[in-house]
Amino acid sequence: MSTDEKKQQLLDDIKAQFGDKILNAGIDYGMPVVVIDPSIHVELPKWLKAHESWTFNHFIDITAVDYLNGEHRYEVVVHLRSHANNLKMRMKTPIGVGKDVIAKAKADHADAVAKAKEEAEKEEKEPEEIPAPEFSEPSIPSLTEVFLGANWSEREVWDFYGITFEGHPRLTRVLNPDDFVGYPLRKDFPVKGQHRGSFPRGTVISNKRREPVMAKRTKPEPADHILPRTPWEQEREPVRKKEGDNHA
Amino acid sequence: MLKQVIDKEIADQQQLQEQELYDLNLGPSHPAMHGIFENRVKIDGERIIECESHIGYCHRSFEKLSEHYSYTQVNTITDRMNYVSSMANNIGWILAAEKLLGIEVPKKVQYVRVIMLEINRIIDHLICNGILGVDAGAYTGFLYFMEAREKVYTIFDKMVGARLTTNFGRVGGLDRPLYPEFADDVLNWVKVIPKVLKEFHTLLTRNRIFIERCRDITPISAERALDYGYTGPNLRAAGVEYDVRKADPFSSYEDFDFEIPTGTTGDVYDRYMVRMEEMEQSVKIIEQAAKNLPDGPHHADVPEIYLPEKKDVYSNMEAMIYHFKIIMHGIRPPKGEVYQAIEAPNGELGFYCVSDGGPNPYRLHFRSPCFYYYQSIEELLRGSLIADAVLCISSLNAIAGELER
Repeated sequence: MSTDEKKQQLLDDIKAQFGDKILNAGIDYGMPVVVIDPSIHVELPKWLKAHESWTFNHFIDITAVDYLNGEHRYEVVVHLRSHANNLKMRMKTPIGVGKDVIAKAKADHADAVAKAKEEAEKEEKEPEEIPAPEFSEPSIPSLTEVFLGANWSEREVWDFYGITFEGHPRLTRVLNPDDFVGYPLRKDFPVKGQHRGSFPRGTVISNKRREPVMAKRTKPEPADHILPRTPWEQEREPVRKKEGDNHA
Repeated sequence: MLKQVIDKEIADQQQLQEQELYDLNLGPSHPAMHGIFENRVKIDGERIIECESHIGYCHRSFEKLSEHYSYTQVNTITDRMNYVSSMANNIGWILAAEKLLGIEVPKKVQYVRVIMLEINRIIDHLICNGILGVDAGAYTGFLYFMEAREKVYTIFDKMVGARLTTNFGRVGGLDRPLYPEFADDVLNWVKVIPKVLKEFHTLLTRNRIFIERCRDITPISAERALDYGYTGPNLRAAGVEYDVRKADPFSSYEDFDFEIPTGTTGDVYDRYMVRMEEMEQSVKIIEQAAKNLPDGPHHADVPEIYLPEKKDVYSNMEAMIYHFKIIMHGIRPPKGEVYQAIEAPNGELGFYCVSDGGPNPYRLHFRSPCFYYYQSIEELLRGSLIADAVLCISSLNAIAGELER
């Protein structure tokens, strides 16, 4: 079987096994890609790993992408490799709700509340309560029970995107300081953050967990005041945000 | 009754042991740590009972930065990942960008990339194995190869004008034409390497003290290594024959004749031997490539991506337009996402790049091989001695710049 046929065969097998849970499947730049429903985020790798001919037993990578808007905001991307077949594949799981969808839902709710209040005033009675739309933080089942390597990868994704992995043994920050605020790789996080976290970190083994030393929030003078301003810069907006602005 | 007594005895013993355990911080700044790794270990005498590692002291948010850099600028970030073999990172990123853009570069460029990647593999492995010797108590080996490493930097210097942060190559080719005596320089340099390796072998490979320090220290089975996401020399030491150069050839690696060395147990000695053998294979590849270096242009014919020569910009209308467009609008690949992996000295270095059609990557993820080795350290160190922990970390070749990006 040639490599291309093999890739097509793999996609066909996955589609036959999981049916309509596979939202999309195809070959992208020579790599088989499946877009799946979050409900089979653990089942599919488990099935692929245990499958007697495919045996996707080599863990490559877990990461995520933030698309900000749209029906689903995030995509959790998993790369796996089958050592027996020398084949790599990508598995994408869309989760979360886009920022524009949330904004629209909130605006609709505000409109509905205002309308109800207006009507109630006309009829001189208590306005009926309309429940506000609720959007939970993105979460997805953890792959740690299938692959050992998923442990730190998922910690990294949580660290940078705030995607919770349910069932993860130790979901703590891995690259950022423990007391860091916000999730830096989200698209609405600025490149120049204000918060600077502190080291050293706390430990879990010894119960003598060190209290995180809070870094002094020094607010340096904005360079705009120090530098001589040229005439055409007079009307320019200050580059830095004002004190008290919370970016997170 | 007897059972209760025994249970109580065991519980007392355990409690006694629990009290005798000692917490130690191995790192973040410790003379035996290469880089800033923090390992909190619970020790009973010399033996490590439990280990917990923390990383992040060298995190420089490359992934966030690269979302705001152009495709050419990202190249400068990648040098700073694995600073021991910076050109390997450059080549990986350029290949990823070229895959996204669909550029086929001339054979000459591919061969030069192969030569540089293999040179970097040799100097990376020399550093790794040399430091392994230092950690085992043999300082001399570290000094023996420094001369070879120094000489290769003169080639880098002539080639790109820098020694450490090389910024080698551009999307679509090399950054400048090759200097004339390049092939001779490389062949002259590579002639010395077998001699250096022989010295190294006589110093360490059959050295009884070294063998006893390294054998059966922190082994890992093939299944667990695959499960952890091991790649590169450390996976091959565990007995899995996986090399991206053979499995998924890039940059015309299929033209060269070489072998993949593998170990059996995945312990420190196997990792050392696999690296030694790989250097010999690299010498073979470099000789083949330098002797058969084809003639041709130093970049692909892609005027909308590769910057024209400066003298053309001032004399040629078309070149000026392209120059303006590339500088002002940047390289804009089509929408899509791509995963490109190369066999970097340390393992599979992957670049997962998502493009939205703009001048900078929408999302760029570096799959650094160290990250996956280093998470297994909590398991590997459990039950070993403190002195072996140092050997284990240096034989995995964890490099802080790459681990934490």
